[in-house]
Amino acid sequence: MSRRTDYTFEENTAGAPSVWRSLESKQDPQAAAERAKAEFKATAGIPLQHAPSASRDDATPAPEGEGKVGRRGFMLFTGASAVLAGCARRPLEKVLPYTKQPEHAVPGISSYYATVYESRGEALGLLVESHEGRPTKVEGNPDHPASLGASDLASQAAIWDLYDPDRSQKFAKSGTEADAADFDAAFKELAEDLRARKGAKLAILAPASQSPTFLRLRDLVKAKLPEAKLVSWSSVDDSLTRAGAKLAFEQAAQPVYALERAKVIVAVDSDLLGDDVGSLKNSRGFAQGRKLRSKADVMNRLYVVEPSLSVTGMAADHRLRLAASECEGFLVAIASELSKKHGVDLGALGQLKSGVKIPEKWVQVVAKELAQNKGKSVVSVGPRQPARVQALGHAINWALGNAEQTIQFYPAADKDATVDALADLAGLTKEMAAGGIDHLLILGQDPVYSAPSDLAFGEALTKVKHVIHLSRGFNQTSRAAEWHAPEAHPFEAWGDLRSRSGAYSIQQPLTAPLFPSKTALELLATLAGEEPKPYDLVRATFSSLNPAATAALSTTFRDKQWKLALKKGVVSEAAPRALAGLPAKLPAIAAAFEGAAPAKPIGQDNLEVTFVADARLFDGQSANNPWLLEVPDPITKLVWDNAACISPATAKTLGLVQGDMVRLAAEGAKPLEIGVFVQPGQADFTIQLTLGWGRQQVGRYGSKKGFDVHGLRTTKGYHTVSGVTLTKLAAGDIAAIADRFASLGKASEPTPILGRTGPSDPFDLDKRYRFVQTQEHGSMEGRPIAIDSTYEDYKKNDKFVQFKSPDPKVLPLWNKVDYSKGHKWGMAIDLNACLGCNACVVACQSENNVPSVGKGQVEMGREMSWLRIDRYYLGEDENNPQVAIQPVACVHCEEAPCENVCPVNATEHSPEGLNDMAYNRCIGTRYCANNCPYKVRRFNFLNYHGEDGVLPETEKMHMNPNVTVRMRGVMEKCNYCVQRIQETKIHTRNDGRAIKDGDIRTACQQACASEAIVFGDLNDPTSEVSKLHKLDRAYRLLAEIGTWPRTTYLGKIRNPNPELV
Amino acid sequence: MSDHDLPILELGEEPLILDGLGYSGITEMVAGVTENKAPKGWWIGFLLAGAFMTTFLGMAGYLIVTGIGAWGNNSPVFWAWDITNFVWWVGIGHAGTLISAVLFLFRQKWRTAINRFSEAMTIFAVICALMFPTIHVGRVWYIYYTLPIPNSMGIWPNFKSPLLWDVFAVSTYFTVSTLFWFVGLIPDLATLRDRSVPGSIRQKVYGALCLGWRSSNRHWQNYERAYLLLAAFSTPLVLSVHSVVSFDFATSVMPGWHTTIFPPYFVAGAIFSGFAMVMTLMLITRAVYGLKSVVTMKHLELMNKIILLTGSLVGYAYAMEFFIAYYSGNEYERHVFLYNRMTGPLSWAYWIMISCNVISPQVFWFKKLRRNIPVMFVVSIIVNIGMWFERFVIIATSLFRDFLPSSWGYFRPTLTDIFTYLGTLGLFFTAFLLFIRWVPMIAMAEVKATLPEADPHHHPKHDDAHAAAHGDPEPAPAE
Repeated sequence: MSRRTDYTFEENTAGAPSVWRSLESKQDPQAAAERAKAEFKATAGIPLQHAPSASRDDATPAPEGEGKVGRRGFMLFTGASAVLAGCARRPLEKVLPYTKQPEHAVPGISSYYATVYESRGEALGLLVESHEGRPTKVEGNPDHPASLGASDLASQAAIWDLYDPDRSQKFAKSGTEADAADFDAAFKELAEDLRARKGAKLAILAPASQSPTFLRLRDLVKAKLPEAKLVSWSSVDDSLTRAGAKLAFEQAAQPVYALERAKVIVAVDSDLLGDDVGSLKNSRGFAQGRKLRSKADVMNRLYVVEPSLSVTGMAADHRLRLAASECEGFLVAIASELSKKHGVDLGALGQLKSGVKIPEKWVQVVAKELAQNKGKSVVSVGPRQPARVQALGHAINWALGNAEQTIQFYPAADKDATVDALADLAGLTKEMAAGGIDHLLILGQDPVYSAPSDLAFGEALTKVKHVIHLSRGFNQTSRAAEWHAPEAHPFEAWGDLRSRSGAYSIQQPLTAPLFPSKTALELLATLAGEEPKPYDLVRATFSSLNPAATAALSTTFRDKQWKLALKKGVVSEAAPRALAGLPAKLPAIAAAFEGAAPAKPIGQDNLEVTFVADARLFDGQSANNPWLLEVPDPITKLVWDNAACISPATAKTLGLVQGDMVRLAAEGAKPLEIGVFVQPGQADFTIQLTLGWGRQQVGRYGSKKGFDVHGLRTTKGYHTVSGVTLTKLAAGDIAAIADRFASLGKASEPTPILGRTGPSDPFDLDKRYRFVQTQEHGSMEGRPIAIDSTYEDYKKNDKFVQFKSPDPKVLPLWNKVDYSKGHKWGMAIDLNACLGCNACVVACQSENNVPSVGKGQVEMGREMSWLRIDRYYLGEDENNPQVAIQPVACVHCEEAPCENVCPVNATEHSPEGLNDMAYNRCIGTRYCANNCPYKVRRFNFLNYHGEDGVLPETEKMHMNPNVTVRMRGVMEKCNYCVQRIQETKIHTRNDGRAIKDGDIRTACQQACASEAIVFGDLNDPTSEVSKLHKLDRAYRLLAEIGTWPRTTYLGKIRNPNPELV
Repeated sequence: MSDHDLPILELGEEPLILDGLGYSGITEMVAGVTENKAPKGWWIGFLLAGAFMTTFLGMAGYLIVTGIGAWGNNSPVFWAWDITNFVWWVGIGHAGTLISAVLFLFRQKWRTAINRFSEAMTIFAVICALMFPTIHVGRVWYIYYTLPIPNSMGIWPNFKSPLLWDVFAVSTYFTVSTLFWFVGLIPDLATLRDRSVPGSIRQKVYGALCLGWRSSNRHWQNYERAYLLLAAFSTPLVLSVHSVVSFDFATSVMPGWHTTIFPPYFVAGAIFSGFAMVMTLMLITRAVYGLKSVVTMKHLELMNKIILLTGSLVGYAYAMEFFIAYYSGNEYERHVFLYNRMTGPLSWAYWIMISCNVISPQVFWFKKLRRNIPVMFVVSIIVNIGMWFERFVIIATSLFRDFLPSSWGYFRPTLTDIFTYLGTLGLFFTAFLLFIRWVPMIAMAEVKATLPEADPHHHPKHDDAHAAAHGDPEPAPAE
């Protein structure tokens, strides 16, 4: 599906209009522009919400209302801007290459444009599907080294953010609406003034950036405004990783794992397949080492040491529960074992003593495995571990010869990146509070919400005279700011990003900005006195990437290069940086350990809290996105909430049950009242809290959802807090909280959409918080569902799945349909590769216009997701279970139980074996869903897309026009992305060729980083899916019922070390 | 020559009509109800029932405007109270046809006192039943897709679907029951016409309804023949309707539904609940209108015996289902019966069902209790409750925890669920009270035929000779 349009650009030589509509426009472009402006009053430079949406001729502004962009209005806008780019002498910012209607651009046929999006600290190269200029779906760019053609949850959901109806749409001065022009003028004046004063008493707070243009402009600002204070900070970042690298190598090198080469992976408090930077690439590499085709294949082994169950922990072959502060002790013990028993030279680091009691067997076995797999192993240390621990991890990797094999180092995009962002922020806040800052420019984020609570950032902010805040939403910080400027979404603004491995990508806008907005680049450029034209800024960066080479080349050639870069989405990849001189640093690393105070043992009176970026909302930037709010947490399966996760044993000791409200208190922090969630796999006496929830002001869907845990987060207890006390709240306290919730509107935020309301009371009858999960039962009840085996057993019996889930051996009652002619679509899902990251779930939701229904509806069991990821716990120990993950969507049974029970023939088999839904025919008896053994059918109990006219105008725009938007009373389910199948069939027929394997990729398959989902034609013996269907691991889910599903699963093989079992 | 051709007195049985009521006594008693002013109790009942019926209309309207989400149905319990109520009402609707048709064919003369009554109940119960499959579909405005109407798209309903069979079975049942009821009513309506003031509206309405009945010999002959044919036609329907309803479940793949015992089990259950409902209603009406001499203790006792029999059949079916689930060794089946029903979160419903349906009718083993009106009233109510729970147990406990534990759920009704159900009770009673008020609630003509004086030439030999002479094995109808 990654057909990218081949488009052409007009030559743009400076000073001359490159394309023109009439002679006078060529001769007098200014006049032509005027005329065009008169003709298209609503367009040029005028905010979109004033665009007439009903009639083209009616130039009077639409009545006040939020984001009234009708379909016509939108089309008019995009169309007119494309035309204007031609006839008026607009600067040629080729937003979409419709300067000239390209021959192939047929309305109704989607096109794909390459861009780049920052997600979880990594730049992901994307291809975004556009329908007549309206971006609708995100896909990975296969040419990009960080996305590898896949995408993650956040980038899939980004398309909704673009159309977020609660995006900030207007500039505001001191809380009142202002014009963009006023802001521009004011800011320009301020910039001149500041430049004159060399930036005295100015501070800029921005997140760490991977964007070369941003960094170039920042350096310019630094040069022009030398006295300005520049602080890079964001609530979730990897500054400790930078610090670790700096400690180990004296340079801010960026570790990037090549897990495909690893035989043994040891993840120490590191969610390298889930939350951490580069998880997409890591997932691909990890899965490559586990996709067994036969028992002769080799398999990697993953050891995970972590405090709370993570995506990586779920995939582990061996998992050790250890508090975050004790992980250091584990790594020290490994280092000591390696150096003493296996002769690995770690210098002074080998002499360190672990202050924590680690199971001896674990240390012995892990160290032995690492030593046996020199150069083929990797030790990964998580970004919240102290720098010394990260440095120790680097040292172990280096000593084992893993560096440049399984772990590579790349130059950091930001060479001047600070290694202690938190200290910088603390310094800034102090200065702010002392009145040392007159002007504060905050680029993005909501620091009033996310800054550590002991800094009292919000209070300090009131001491700053002039605060300018650029953000996508009008949030708590914007409220305190003098000027608020709406920030453009990355899909509507020029920019660029460098991936961790150095690949440079241009962030190509996919649409004209929906609302008047600014980007950080524009503001920095204005400050530096540059012309704030993002296109020119990015282009200048592009040219400066290799000035010596490009200077010699002709303009034409440079243009070609630029166009090629836009089209391909990736320019160049940096070479890995060779490391030198680590042995010299070993004593320094060891010295860092000496100063560390021994941690107090974790226990009932010394609970440890760890903070982690939420698996869905990350740091809360997209907290108004119902797709993210409703996608279940990969581990807890919670929706619309976060929780304090504790282990079952701790819950028992402390007398807590799920949903109990507790107060967590720590020295120097604000006490936190939060609901307890009993989570198997959590280390005892540790509590995991996730960031990103509980934002007070983010929009109609996300405001006040979940618990804001930032109060407990201080500069001292930033990643982990020890010495936390827990008090169970009594019924009286809860009544008070309930009142507070009610006054906040937390209980139920009534939204126009009937479905998206919370339960009316956040507490149940027992005064327990009503957590809502999509899956409440975690046991497989001994049934052959997500079938697994160990590598050892698999080698003995590679047909194990056939024994557990045999195909039925009964004579058919009727003749089977012959599917041997034409196509026979099928799918294979490799349980060994699936990590449960949820990217496929949201990809499916985005592709198929699946609504989010709200907490209350999910509580009633009415979630609509066509694809769900089932998570089962295995094993005897409820505190430390193994996990089985299984994505389940419609399996397209050849003998589908749903089909023969439908009284109106609304669900029928296609000749290619798809179990199709005819929405128009469905009357909603729901019999099919009752009779579906997989329970994959979803019923529109209510009008989840809203009654007519209720859904905000912009929110409708993310809909895929190729997929029906279902009304209430209709059944729906996965259809193998039938619209993609049909589209490809049409294209290939037009091209006069046969469909090749891989031409059709379903949305879930496309998004999957670990390539766990494979779709294709089973009648093509060479197709990947046919091959997978023939593997010994292949089985049909619930085969014994005789449904003959087209989706087969490949049984999961675990690779436990026999010595550690 | 069989016993049932003998007049009751010769068999030494108790007379069916007590207190020496003769032809005119019966007419006075039955027709009088429609002619006299309605008693106060009727008005109270009517207003109450009407209020509930209005509730039903409101609930149904709300449901149609809002969507099925107004109910508590969810995934995996896609069917809940809607289909429970449907099956419950259809079940109740069984007694009528059984009493009027099957017992007629078996010459159970005691049926005459209760058949009109129970047939009316059948019709109203089926109307209530039909409400649920109608409003429970997500898009009720397209429900005509279930009918085989030729259309430009060339799409027919899916004849493989048990739901479609349902449509045919229930609508056939409804049509035949209504016809049967109406045919039976003709002589009685004529009686009402004849008793009306000449020229009154009443006379015109009843006159139109009785289709020109003049009580001629030819009329009686045709009437009896038609009635017999309709009885013969309805009899298989008694078995088929609930068998087809049970196919909704039995043909599926869901453990707890996928059971071959369902058709007979459902029919037994339907008769069980139908008789219980007839009993409940009759006891009230009998007391209110003083029909003790027509609906005698003998009638009640006979019905109690049927309740005992069908209750035990149902109990056997419960035991057998459980045994087969255990004996099959199928873990999913076992799970449904052992955990979902007996011990799981919905087990309360299962135990209510067992206590109400299996244990409570056992009191009828004792003659004293069988003839005790308060006891039978309480038991009939309990059985009605139990049978509602039976359907709920079958539907909800099979659905809420099926094959994949990941999709397990639970069911909680909403207020709309509850009031929709109560509303159909209102609909039922409204119709029923109107029936009592305007239609002879006891088949006068038929009851009269069971009087000793209705058989003036009851000579066994005469009948034999008569039959032999005409080559007709059937006895001549009563004249």
